[in-house]
Amino acid sequence: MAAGTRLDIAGLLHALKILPAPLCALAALAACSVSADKARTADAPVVGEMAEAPSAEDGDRMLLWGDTHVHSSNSVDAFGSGFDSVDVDSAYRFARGLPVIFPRTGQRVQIDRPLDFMVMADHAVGLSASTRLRARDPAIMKLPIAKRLLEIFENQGGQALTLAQMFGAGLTKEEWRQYREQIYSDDFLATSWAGQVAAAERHNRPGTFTALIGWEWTSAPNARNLHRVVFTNVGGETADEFIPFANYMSEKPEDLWAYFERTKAMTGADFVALPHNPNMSGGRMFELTDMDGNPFDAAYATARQKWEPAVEITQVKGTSETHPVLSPNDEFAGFELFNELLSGEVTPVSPGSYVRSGLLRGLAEERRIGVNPFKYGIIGSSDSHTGLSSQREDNFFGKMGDDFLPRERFGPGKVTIPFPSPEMSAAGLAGVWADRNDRQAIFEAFRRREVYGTSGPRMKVRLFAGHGFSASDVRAKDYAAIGYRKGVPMGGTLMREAGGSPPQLAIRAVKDPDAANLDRVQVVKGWLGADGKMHEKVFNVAWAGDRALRPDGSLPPVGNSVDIDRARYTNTIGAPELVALWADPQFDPAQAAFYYVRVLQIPTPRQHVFDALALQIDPRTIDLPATIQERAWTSPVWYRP
Amino acid sequence: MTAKGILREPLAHFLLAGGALFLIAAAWSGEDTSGRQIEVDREDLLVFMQGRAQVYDEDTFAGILDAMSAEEKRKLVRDAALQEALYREGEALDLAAADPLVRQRVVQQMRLLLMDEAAADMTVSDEEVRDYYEHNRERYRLDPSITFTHVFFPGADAREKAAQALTALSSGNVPFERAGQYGERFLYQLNYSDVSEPIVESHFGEDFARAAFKLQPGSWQGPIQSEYGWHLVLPMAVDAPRAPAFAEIADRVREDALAEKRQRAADRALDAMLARYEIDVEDGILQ
Repeated sequence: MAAGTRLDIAGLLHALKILPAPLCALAALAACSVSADKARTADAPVVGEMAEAPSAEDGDRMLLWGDTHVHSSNSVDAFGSGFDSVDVDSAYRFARGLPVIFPRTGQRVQIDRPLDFMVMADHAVGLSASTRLRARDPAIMKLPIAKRLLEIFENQGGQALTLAQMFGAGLTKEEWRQYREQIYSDDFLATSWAGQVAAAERHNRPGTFTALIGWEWTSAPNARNLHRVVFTNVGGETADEFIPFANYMSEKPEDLWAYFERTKAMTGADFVALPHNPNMSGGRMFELTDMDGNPFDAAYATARQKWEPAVEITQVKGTSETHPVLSPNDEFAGFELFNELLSGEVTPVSPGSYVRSGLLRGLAEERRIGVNPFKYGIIGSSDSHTGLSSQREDNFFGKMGDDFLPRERFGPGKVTIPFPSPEMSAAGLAGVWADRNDRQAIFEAFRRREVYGTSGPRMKVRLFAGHGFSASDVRAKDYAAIGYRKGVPMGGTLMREAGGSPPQLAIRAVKDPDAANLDRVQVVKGWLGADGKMHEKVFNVAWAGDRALRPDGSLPPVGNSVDIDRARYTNTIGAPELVALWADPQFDPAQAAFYYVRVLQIPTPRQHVFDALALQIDPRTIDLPATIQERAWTSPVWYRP
Repeated sequence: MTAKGILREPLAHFLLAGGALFLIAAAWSGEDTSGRQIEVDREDLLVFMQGRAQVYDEDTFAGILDAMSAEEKRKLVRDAALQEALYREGEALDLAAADPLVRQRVVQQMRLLLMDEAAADMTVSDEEVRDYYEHNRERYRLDPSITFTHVFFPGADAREKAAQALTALSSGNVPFERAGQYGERFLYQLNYSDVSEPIVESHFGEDFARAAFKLQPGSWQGPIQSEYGWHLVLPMAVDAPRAPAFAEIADRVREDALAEKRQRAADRALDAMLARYEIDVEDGILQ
């Protein structure tokens, strides 16, 4: 620092603390202004286009499978070398079941079974900047910074362009300032956004495949991941009336929700935000203060509950259900953990980083301020940055495209990247119980939290909670009709029944027809004791084989049919279907509680074992678990005393 | 690009391990600084093992350590020593100052340390709590909220069907948890507990929300129209906006008062620390 004026700090101390609302709030306001002339009133909310209602005789809801979190080459970080991710159309085509080409290797890839829906969740920040530049899009070429970016791309390659855009690497201070001024602008974003909307419209097939229009809001203060995937119920015509909210407008979730309110009032579009990777938030995803450090009040909790109906419990960058340190009595807590920041820094295990502790804190906060800020349903999704929604252990396309090939993952040709694929399991998926397969129906299912997550396999899981179920109900042909009549589905709330009797959980779980048998069904209960303390307990409620519960409620392992040297398993253990009608044996009608269901598969080979065998490396020499017990987690049902 | 530039840049934070690691790798010249000594004791090994596994449970790792063969222990000592050596080499190069993320971490830890020292054993008196409450009453106002269950009727003659069902429900013979079977499945929830107007509005529409908050609790009422059809509603509690009595929220106020007192003490400590420095600013900056 050049010595010059000596600063008298006395008058400055803590002046900074009382600065008014950050400037970014102004930018946030501008985000809605794109078509203020077309503004509507909140009295006329837009309902997304609908498919024809299904002809199911009993009017049951249908199970849809989807991925709410796919990045194409339009995401700055997925662009990579320029060949590490498929383009937005190929990403949709892949999800719809069509074969596509992975650009860097020229290989044909195809999903095993098409998805029913997808959210193209490209980062709003820098949206399509690399792809538009590569295509010499005239609008971007008019920006003064474009010349410099193109020079980097042509002389140093795609990877250099990616680093320049993410970190300003290779740019002078002035160029980096210009970059942000020109690329982080409403005009630039509006054009990129129109491209995303048009792509969704090209692939949306109500009744068959739903292309939900959305983006990722990439807030990560100090590398703590507070990212949210956002999607809307509306179609392209309305989506063209707004532009997405990007993290450069504000990093505060509160500002994101305020944007939803404004945009809904102006355009009629409704929104859902889905936080992901609490495990990488350094305890901040479920911390008990807002972004200014204030404790929650009812207004904060209401807004969060209103706009954020579900959280991603699993994806390639790890599972956020819980951690052995937080749940020492849960023998299955140590599942595909990834407890670090986006910078790779390992952080202490914090209850603010995991869904189960978040749900518990939600109960405590509800008792304190009257509203539960963390009333989250549960889903899984992939966060794939290859554009390929990829969940199969036996055919995993990786997290980033940089290590797409087995030889890039292991051995001398191994590439060094931030999120190496071998460390990840192929995860996850969202199961949605919807009235139809269209934008509006899927949106409604999320809003009522009738959704669940899996680590990849498509096991069918249903949960109804209520009073007055009989033992035959869970095996009845019209189980679902009974469930809706007598109780609430996953995501619902139960009230105290007159007699104060314990709620019953009617659960049915069926294996993925194309995957392994089921090991067991568990109920995870969280509750607030009379002393206000948070408690959790895992109950085994249905299991395969003739195992008996031990006195402490645990169950002997199901066994292991995996042949590691051949990367195979057999369905000689486990069961194809498990059902349970369970009533809480420790129920206290005075205590607030939640219950969610966890379904475990029998062990199967983990994805890296396939690569290792193909490369003739002994999987046992690799410091990763060779088997995985894939699983599903339902959204909770809450009990209110 | 300067270190400060990166720090201020949210974009820098979203992929990143890459960036930081490459920077470290690039700066690492592998210089041999000989003549150093690394002492490794049992405690060091346990700390190392826990850090590596990201699981903090000393007893378990003590067991694992004891069960290791001599060869495994040799390898463990080597890994721990390597980590220590790399750390020292990195410190010698002052990587922490060059790497924005490490620098940030050091700053954060120091801040926490100072704040913790200043505010650790602090308590608040009853008078202070009371005083805090008097000055912050607005913060504790409760929004109106409603708890209800409902029966939903969609379609053409929904209103008539609802009116008929109301007679059955009002007879008092149907417990609320069985009421669902009189109507159809609603697209959102069956039961709503302590929900405020914005949430009711987002699920039913504005008119319904306005009507619902005017209901008297205790009996089946309706039909009320929503954006989707007609509803019979059984409100169990309808709470008007109110300022809760001090006794009702005393614990929470105490927590908040203590937090504020701690924050003030921490601010003073930070000020005192900064006051020990002279800050020279480039000419022209402050104009």
